[in-house]
Amino acid sequence: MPRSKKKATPAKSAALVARSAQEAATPIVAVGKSELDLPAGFTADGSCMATLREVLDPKVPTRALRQLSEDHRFDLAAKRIEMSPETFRLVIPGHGTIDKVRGVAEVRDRSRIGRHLAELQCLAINRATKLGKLARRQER
Amino acid sequence: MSGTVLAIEATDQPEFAGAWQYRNGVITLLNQQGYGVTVEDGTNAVSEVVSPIAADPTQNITFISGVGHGTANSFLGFARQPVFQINQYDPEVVENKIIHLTSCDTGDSLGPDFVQNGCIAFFGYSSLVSWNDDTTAAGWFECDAAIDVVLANGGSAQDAHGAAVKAFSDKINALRNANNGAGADCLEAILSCLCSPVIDPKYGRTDATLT
Repeated sequence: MPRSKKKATPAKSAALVARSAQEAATPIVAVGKSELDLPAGFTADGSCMATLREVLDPKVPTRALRQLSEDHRFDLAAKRIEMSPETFRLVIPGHGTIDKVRGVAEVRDRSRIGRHLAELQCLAINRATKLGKLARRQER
Repeated sequence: MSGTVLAIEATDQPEFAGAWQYRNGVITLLNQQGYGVTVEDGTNAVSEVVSPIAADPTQNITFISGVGHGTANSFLGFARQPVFQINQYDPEVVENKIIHLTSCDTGDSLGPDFVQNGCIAFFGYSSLVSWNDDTTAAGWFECDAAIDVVLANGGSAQDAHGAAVKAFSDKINALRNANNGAGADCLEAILSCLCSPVIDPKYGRTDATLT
């Protein structure tokens, strides 16, 4: 649901615009900057990925993770791993250490390991979104 | 007289190196509580060695606790050879025992198969487990060891499950507070695939205790 301030008329909204600008400039301390720039959803029309910053911005219409198709979830997971630091690694007993290149390939193949990686990315998105929303609320 | 615990350690598998300090602590505790402990590790962590011990009534094995790789149908020991595999073990191996396997996947089919063959309670994991760093790996082994600690202290399967859940929850929060979100996510995923009688009766009885 859009926030009530979004319904404010331009004439009445100067203070709200100023507040929005302040919000945009205020760092969301609970979530790292690099995480804010990672894809965490899709735009409302599903045409492109939305960063966590956009997902947290009430002025940007986005689809929540739970509203995404399986295709979109795998796309998001692959992109997030692709954008991870070069130090990305995950040990899966019996399957070795998964680095970025292999991680992206596994997710794109939708292999068992890829599905596991996608699940972890979804947990990360949920965690970051929750923290970001909490931080926004505390800032108000 | 207290029974004997059979510990199976796939010590040749480097992924589990972080587990041994917690395992040693559990073994010490079990000894202190009056349980005998038989450890089969290295090249002895194979079906040919383990199964006759587990099935021998004179050994009075009441608890099998193993660390190693796993699949949906099997628990693997030395050189990833199956120690227990569906349709490849005698019911006497698991009958009247609590079994705890620290490995991927065994909760999927092997655990319920154990229970159908007389195991009174099974603990394990029904999916892949993973970790991003050594701290998170140690976190898993520590939380998982809470199961054995509670059982060693006379707690029920239900108590052991509760202790593990609490240990996981505390560790997840600690990792988050230490800005290790990826580690917290790994442990959350592991906790979500923890299997025990509390999760489903196909894993045995919640009131099962060590004898």
